[in-house]
Amino acid sequence: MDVAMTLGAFNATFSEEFINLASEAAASTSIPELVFSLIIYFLMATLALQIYREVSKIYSFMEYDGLKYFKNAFLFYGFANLFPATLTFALLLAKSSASATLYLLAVVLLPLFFLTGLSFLFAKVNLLSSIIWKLVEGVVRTKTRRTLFFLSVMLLVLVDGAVYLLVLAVAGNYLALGYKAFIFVLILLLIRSNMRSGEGTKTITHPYYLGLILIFTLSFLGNFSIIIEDNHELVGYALDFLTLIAYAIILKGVKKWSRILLG
Amino acid sequence: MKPFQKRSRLEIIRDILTVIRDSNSSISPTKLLRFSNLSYQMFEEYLGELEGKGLVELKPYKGKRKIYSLTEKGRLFLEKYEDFVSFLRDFGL
Repeated sequence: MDVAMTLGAFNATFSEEFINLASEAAASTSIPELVFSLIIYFLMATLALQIYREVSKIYSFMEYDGLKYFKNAFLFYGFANLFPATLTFALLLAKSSASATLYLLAVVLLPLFFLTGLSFLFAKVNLLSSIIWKLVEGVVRTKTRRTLFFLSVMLLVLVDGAVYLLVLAVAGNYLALGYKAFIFVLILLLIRSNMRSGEGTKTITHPYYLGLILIFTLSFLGNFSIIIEDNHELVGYALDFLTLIAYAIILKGVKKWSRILLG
Repeated sequence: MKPFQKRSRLEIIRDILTVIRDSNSSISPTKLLRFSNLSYQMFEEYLGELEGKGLVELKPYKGKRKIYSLTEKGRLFLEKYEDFVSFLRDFGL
């Protein structure tokens, strides 16, 4: 079968709009931008997966459920960065303007968007579950209740997204941001309560929780992009850079504690 | 601990393991239930979980009687408990 026949078959499968969407996506960014994004996504995925590996070691020893959610969160953050890295790579290939690579991009574009969104959702639900766990661990004892707990947190995250969009549509940008700020403060209070719970008044010697707070802060700051009209790209780079810092802080802490606990 | 403050799940596990360790790693289920300050249902649940995770084991003792003893994993868990709690606090978990 020759190339022309193969492309003909693809043409029959994909509508012209779909191919146009792929070529527009490829045309809207420059090669240096794509290379830079590819490096950033790859770095973030590597750090997140390294955190997952280290926390898994600690989890296999202590088997604490709160930690299971924490480790899974970083597995999904790893995936959530690997999928856009693949997409960026496909865009780079499509830049070569060969028709076959454009068709390849058309094939992977929507599935990768979908998988990235799904990974971010699961990462967020797992991270939130890990900080809520201490509050509910006394009640959520059976496997069924654990599943129900996880599904409730997922519902909470989805409802939060729906409420945000509703407020955004009805009351405008600033009230929507106010709503997000309220949720952000609740999360900070939850982290604070975790740090103060338990016996004794031991002070925290290494503030690795700042990495976690930074991830939630960035998730909150991401909402500001709707009111920033200029310098979108600059804001995006800044958020990526801060995410890398957050992952680096967490990885440093996890590696240190892994040495202490398993060494 | 503050008076009347509820113990967390980890604290209960630590208390059960400490009671077993302090009795030379051999204690009858009845005695362990009394010292662990739990209801019978909760006690069953926790001990089932600890056995499942390989932290304690139920051994036959002098014929029909049985005793709980600490496994190597349970002893290590107890040794590292304080560090693990510090790890969780460092991360706000």
